[in-house]
Amino acid sequence: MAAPPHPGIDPLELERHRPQLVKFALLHLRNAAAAEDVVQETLLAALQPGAPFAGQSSVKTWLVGILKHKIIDLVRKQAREQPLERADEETELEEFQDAIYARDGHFRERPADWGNPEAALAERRFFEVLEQCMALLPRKTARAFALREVMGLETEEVCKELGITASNCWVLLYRARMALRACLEGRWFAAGGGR
Amino acid sequence: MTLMISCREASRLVSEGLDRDLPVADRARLRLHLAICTACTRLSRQLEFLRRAARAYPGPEDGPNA
Repeated sequence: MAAPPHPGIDPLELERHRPQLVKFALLHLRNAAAAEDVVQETLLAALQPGAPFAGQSSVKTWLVGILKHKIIDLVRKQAREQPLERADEETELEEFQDAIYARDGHFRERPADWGNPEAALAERRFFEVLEQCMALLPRKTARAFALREVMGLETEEVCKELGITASNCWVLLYRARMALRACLEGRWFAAGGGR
Repeated sequence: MTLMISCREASRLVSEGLDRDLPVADRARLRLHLAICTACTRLSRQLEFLRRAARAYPGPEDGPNA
């Protein structure tokens, strides 16, 4: 016998979250068709009677949770089928660092004081800026950061999904963090975001 | 290898420390550097904050009633 339909889950309520879920998926997949597909699968999965929404968090958080799993599955599949291009990370790293540090190893421009950054976490607009900054990262760098920090995978898993060595992985994550730090500083903290 | 490292090197260790357990020698170098460098201490806190922000993404609900 089929389980009863999901109590209290209104398809229209789920639909309301679609645009944001697509944006989330786009950050990871960088492909509109793939993002729409994975969101469609997510919404369908959410409507399944067995979907375990226990009201533990908001509907949005629950949907993002399902979406994360779907994206990770997709990234794994892609990694098997078409590994991302390999770059000479170390050479590029030198150039990357030259933009931030002088030859003597000091900052060209010291990091600014961010005050109390935790306050930003309550602001919807802050996350829009974070999203813009993530979208500016090179594809592979963005993917490494998303898997590690947004999805919370262990570093070993991230390297495996991307088909790269551990040291390449650390370098990609380093570059992602430094670029995002500078971007958030320029677009939010130094721009008086939230104040 | 020397115990004194530059900000350039320290920043890589700060980031790598978020991804693996650093070797003891690197950890000692980093700790020494952070003890005397306010810029890198700031950087370190900011990268930790970046992690919290990424984990919280996509952040709070949109509308006031969402």
